[in-house]
Amino acid sequence: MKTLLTYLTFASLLAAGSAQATMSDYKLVLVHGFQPGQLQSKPDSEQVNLDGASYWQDYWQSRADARIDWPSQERITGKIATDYVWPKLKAFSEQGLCQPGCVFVTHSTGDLVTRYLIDNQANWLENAGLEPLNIVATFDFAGAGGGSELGDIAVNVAEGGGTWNSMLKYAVSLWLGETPSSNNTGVLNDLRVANARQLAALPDSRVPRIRFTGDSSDYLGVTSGYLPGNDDGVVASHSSCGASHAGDFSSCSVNVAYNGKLASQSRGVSQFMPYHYPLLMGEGYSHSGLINNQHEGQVTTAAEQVSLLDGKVVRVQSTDEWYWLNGAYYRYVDGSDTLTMSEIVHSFL
Amino acid sequence: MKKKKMITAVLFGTAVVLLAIYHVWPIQHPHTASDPVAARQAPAVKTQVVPMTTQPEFVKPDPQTQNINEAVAEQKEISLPVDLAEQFTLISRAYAAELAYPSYARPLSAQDTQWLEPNRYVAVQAPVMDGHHTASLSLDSFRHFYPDPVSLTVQSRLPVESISVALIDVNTHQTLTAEQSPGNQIVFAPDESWPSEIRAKATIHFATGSDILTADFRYYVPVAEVVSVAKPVPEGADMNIPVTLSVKREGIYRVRANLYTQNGKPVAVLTARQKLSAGEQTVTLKAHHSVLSGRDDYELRTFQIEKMSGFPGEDTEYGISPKSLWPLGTLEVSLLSDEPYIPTAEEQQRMQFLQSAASD
Repeated sequence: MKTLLTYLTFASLLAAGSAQATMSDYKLVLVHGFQPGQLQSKPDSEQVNLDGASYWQDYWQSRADARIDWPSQERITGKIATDYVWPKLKAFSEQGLCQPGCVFVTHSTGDLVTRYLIDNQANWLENAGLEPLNIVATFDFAGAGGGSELGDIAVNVAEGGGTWNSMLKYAVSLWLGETPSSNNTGVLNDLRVANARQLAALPDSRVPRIRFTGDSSDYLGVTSGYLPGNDDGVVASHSSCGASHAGDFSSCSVNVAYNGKLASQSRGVSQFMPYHYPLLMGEGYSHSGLINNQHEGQVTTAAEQVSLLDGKVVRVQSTDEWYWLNGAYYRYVDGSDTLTMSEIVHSFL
Repeated sequence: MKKKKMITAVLFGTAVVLLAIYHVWPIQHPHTASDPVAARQAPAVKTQVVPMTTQPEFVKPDPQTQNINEAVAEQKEISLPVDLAEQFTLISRAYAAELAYPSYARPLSAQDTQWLEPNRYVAVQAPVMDGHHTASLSLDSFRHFYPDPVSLTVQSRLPVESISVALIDVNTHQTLTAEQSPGNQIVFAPDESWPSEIRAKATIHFATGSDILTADFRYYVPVAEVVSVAKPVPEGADMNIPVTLSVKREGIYRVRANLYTQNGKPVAVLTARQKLSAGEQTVTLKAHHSVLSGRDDYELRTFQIEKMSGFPGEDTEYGISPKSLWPLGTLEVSLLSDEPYIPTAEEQQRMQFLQSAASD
């Protein structure tokens, strides 16, 4: 109880005690995800920049202040860090872009790239005599920070696996546009579940990571057979929700299904990576659909309740216990009958 | 007469009870009109804190919500609109709870597997053969340290006759070594010259045919080693725990260890980050009073010693602790001041960001 009072008081003090920045003061930085075509095309830096602009064109490009673009044929700790992330970090610091506070909007593998960036940017910039960036939060769409089993399968195929399994090879080629070989797997190596979950897994800086997830597929469900639990066609829920461990999860919540139905989710995620908070789930949204400007049905909230460090649970209540006992209740976010997932999220920035 | 009075009293009492139940009963008052299901206004939402171990107590619903409930009898599916700002309120609450503790001493529970088993290898079940079966290639841990052997195991419901495994440098694709073994397990004696990123490529021989699986792991010659852990010293709100390391290469080191009670209950993960030169160096882990309670015997376990990337392109390297457990003796919380942790300016701004979203 003492702890509870401490943090409630503390939260109030924070709200009252210092000047509030308005949401429009924050700068938006986009970090895109894996682009399969680049494994084959191996673009140069100019093309990487064009591909990055194209990636976000549908909705977020015109609403952002900066982008970090990176090529999928490279590795995160290698050339992606040295040739693509670092020049941008340096420029942001020199320009003071993030002095008012930056919000990183990430998609897919951009989640993993950003986690690595968050864990290292202070060391890198301070060693170069520059100010670290002030990152206030990330909004992660279809986050692949927990890796993707498709990455494992693709690497296995690239190394000669799946000889007798034409369906598996078809799923991989449907996703990548080709059957990969061992010398063009690039960032797929970082996307392997074991590797991803060990890459800068526990950053010191406590940047809140707000998650937005989907449950539909761009591949007619062909790839879903290789992803545990519910998935968006490319990443499983354990990854997009930010679960503390890989597994077969049906929802980012233990109380709400992807379709908004309020019902106990025995396979819902209950333990998360540090400072990872799932917020919205959209049953109709696929991996790419989450950042596009096309309405794919209503979305529901994953944050019906949250667990605190002291074991307490904070929950939103909107009804009484009969709520659970009568028929099926569905919870949808205000306005999601017409607004896209990205529009809803942007309305808070 | 007496009997009649008794019957009257019983009937009256029953009527009172029934009337009370009628009024308390949350739904199914037939004379109350139902609201349209499609109403888009969010019901008044209240937040409540409940202990995790008990059933939550639900508050009385507001009239609008109650009306929605009443529609249930007539319609099976009800949509409840939710104001997203309320969800941000929950997240800001959870984040505020995190900030009640310093980042250098975060409380732990038995469910915090990421902190408790930071070197766990996550094996992935992959389809094998014609896709009707699965198998995984797993290791004891993700990071291995010279001169520990590297053991690989194939797990599958299909009987495994033998395996042939090549260890490959992921960056150069060069084969480091290759061996074969009957059964589903193989052990490699390491070489000090191995690179840090290695792929095990296993050809698995089942009774019905062969397939290939791969698993990546890390291999390090330790860059630092824990030499000793000194007796904790109270200072202000923290119990300072000096840890002496033998450092091979200078750099920015992040040292983490999990604080346990002597009876095996995880208490907190303690973290220190410091530039260290080569040689014997001391870093101080701090246990803030907020993660300790009363007087107990404690110990440190699960040391994680990272030489962090100092510039882009420089890989993280790792050190080791020769002992899995370092006893600390008795820690007396009463020797510490009870000053609360004050979050950094950056942490306060992150909190404000979430609160701004919540009040949007």
